[in-house]
Amino acid sequence: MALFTTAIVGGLALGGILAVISLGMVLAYRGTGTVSFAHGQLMLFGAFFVGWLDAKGGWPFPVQLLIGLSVPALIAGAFYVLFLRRLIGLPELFGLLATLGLASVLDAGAVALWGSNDYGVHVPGVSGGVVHLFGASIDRPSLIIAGATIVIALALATVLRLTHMGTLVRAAGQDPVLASQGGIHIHRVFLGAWAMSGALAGLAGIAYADLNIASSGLELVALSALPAMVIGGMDSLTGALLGGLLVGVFEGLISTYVSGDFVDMATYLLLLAVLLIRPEGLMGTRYVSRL
Amino acid sequence: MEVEAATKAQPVGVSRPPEPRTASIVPRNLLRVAIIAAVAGYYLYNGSSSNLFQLNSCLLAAVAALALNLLMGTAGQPSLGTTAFLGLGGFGTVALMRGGLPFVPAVVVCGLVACLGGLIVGLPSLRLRGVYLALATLGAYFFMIYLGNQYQNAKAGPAGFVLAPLFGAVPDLTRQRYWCVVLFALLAVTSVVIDGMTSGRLGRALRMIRDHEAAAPALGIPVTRYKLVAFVFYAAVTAIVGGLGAALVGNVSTDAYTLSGAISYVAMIVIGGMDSVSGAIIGAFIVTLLPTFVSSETTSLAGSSFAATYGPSVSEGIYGLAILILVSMGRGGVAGFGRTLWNLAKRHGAHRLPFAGAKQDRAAN
Repeated sequence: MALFTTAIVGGLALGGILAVISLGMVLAYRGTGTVSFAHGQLMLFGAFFVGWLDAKGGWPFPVQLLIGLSVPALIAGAFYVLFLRRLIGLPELFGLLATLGLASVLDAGAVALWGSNDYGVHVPGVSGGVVHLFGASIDRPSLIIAGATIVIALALATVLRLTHMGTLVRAAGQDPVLASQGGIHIHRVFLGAWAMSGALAGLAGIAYADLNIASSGLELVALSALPAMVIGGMDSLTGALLGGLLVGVFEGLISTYVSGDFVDMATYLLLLAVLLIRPEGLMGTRYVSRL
Repeated sequence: MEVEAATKAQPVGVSRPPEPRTASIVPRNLLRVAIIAAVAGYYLYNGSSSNLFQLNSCLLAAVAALALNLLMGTAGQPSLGTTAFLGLGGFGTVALMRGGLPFVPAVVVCGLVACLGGLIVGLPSLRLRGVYLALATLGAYFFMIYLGNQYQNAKAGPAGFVLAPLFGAVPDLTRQRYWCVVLFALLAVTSVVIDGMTSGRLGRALRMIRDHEAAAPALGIPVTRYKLVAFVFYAAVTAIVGGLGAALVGNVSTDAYTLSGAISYVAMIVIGGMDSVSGAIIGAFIVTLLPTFVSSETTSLAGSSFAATYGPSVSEGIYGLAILILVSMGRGGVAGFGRTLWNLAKRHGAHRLPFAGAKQDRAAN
């Protein structure tokens, strides 16, 4: 029971982070129809900027956080303006290729800036301590990060569902031509969606680095968020939240009861099963055409 | 012949965009093979063993790039699983050779196993379009890495397996010369076969699937079968390259099969020019030689310790930037640039970009 509780809480902490990542990816996908393979690198930039400023000293945490969120947002925004904007209307293959290019460039940039250094990230108030829950002793940070990321993801999903801004993003993504004729400045909306998605990646990176460490392995976390996104349904914000938590708990259970090596493969087997049985995911729109 | 038939079938009076002007199939292939032969021949006589090793790596990468080009450039199905199938070839060859099979049959068996693997990975893409195949290939990658790690930890330890060099006990230079002849022959055959495949009926069908997937069945194109054929062919060729590459390098370890390696193959296609046979070969040479070029340049500019630390990532950054720029601004890549120059010289105007049909289609919807 204690082992089970630890697995679940650890899974929820990871799941909350995955939910934030896949929320960002869904947002970008809803905008330009691009699945981003550069999200892990954006996370890395967020976490490394916070850790790097922290190691230099003299930077208060709110400033670190602001920089850690705005750098990935700026990168994602610049990526949209410079490259992705030209690919609207082309098959989604091109957007995907462009994000692969961005991933390579950011990888190179990370090595140039930080070499092979690792940095610790310390979010104030989230450090040390053990909480006893159902007979298991659980890291307090895991619990806080799980709670915080789930609340943030939930709040964001609600905002995007209910507000005018959310409607704009959905409209522009569904039919760019019609939306622009309806008076929506679609390029501004897409830019906003990408910048927001970058900021979310930064947030997830900081949260993950707080629980672990900011190292170059960080970007692999985003590869677990891709299955979360697809399982949730690609275009559903609530689905991203659910998919993230589901994959997080699934990975927690696998790494506790089977083996840590098996986690990535198991997640992708789960993805493959979902693709074959229910391609639209848990909450996605069923517009995927079968051929 | 079939190309002519398709041209005549167009209704009279409908204006068609100009066809890309390229040499017809036989002289085109002869010229391509002759150029590769000239390069290989030059280094066979003048190259040192390390020159030849680099050339061999390029020739091998070009074979895999040709297969990926068929899948991604011609059929429009992206794959991040190139290193998964390379790894299947590498580890499969090691496992079979440890089981007592000679090298060549081991590589061939790996190719056949990869056909089956390609069939399984390709299945989700039959029901779904676009990005899902990329995700399934990513799954294949993790599967391969998991199995490879298990096998490697059980039998060899973290440094991986060492393969006995091919061609018996000969000096290294002679060995690299043998390799060069073998790989030149392989690349020549593959390029002719793939050019033949993509310039006939199959190629037209794959381009139709790429540009107008929903409309293809209405023209009697069996989308499912063609997509699977492209994917299985790609998987088999890539696995064979993986087996040969393992023997060429002499070492198999999971560290060599990275996701950024898979992206570098994508970079070859994009830099060379999507849906171009010559482009894939040129792209493979550029991307394979880039790290060496960058490290020698950075060594002369900033010293060898800098080059050792930053060299690999600088070249990764360069081809990443090349992907970004070429995908968003000039999808023809090197081959498209060459073709545009050729057309300008013959006053035919710029050639059509690959995938141009897709954009028109989307705009019309």
